[in-house]
Amino acid sequence: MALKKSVRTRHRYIKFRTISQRKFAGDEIYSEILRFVSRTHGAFAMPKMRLISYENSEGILKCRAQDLTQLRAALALLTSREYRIKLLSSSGTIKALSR
Amino acid sequence: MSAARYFDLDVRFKWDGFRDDGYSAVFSPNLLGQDSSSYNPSKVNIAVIKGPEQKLPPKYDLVNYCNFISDPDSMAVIRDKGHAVELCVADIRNFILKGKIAQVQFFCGVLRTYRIPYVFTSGATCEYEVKSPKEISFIAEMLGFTQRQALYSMSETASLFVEGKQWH
Repeated sequence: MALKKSVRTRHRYIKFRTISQRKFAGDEIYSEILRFVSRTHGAFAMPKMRLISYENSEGILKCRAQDLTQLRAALALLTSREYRIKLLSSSGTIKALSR
Repeated sequence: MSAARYFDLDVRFKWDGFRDDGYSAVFSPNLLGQDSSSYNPSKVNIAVIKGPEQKLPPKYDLVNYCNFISDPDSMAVIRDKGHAVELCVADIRNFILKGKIAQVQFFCGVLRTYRIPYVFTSGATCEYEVKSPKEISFIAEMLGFTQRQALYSMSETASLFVEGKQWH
């Protein structure tokens, strides 16, 4: 039986861009993000997230709505001398991000 | 209606070439002032205070408590003289990675409670570490500030120091 909309977990999608001299693969960037987020939040408290897509240095992460603030802060704190992750926008639907 | 101008007052690398090489590559225009050529973060005097035993120097614009230990006496002097405390994202990041976020949050709570002016800066050592105002406001949310407070500190409070040096 399908859950009612009011009971379903609400998700948010974060669009980001990787700025760097060389091209990074989606798996590479995602593992860097996961490593940094687990380091800042710990293994038990880290926000649940998944990489939905990564093309042409732009990717979309999916997370729960309640974890959005934590994840945005962690992505903003992620720094490296080789690349930069720029947060473009966040939305409740993927369609709104691509507009 | 003119767009707000934001200033990053602590940039720890050579600024001259940044505008040509990294500026457009790192973030969108008009974030650091419309005419970057007359805006030089290296000319802002930042006093770094490591502990309560260290005294404030005679001449400074911003004070950076790099160990986030609140010192009520010097903070009262900073507020009365119209200066501000620097909240450097690079230092905050180092403390969070050491697991000391509670200390940073307590320090920020003291600033808000006693209404001490503060300015968020990036403390970037290369162009990839420069943060946009929105990203700094996301980090500030984790420390108990609102996004509006963080953006206000980077525009209005920071502009007081920029105008004092007659940059436009």
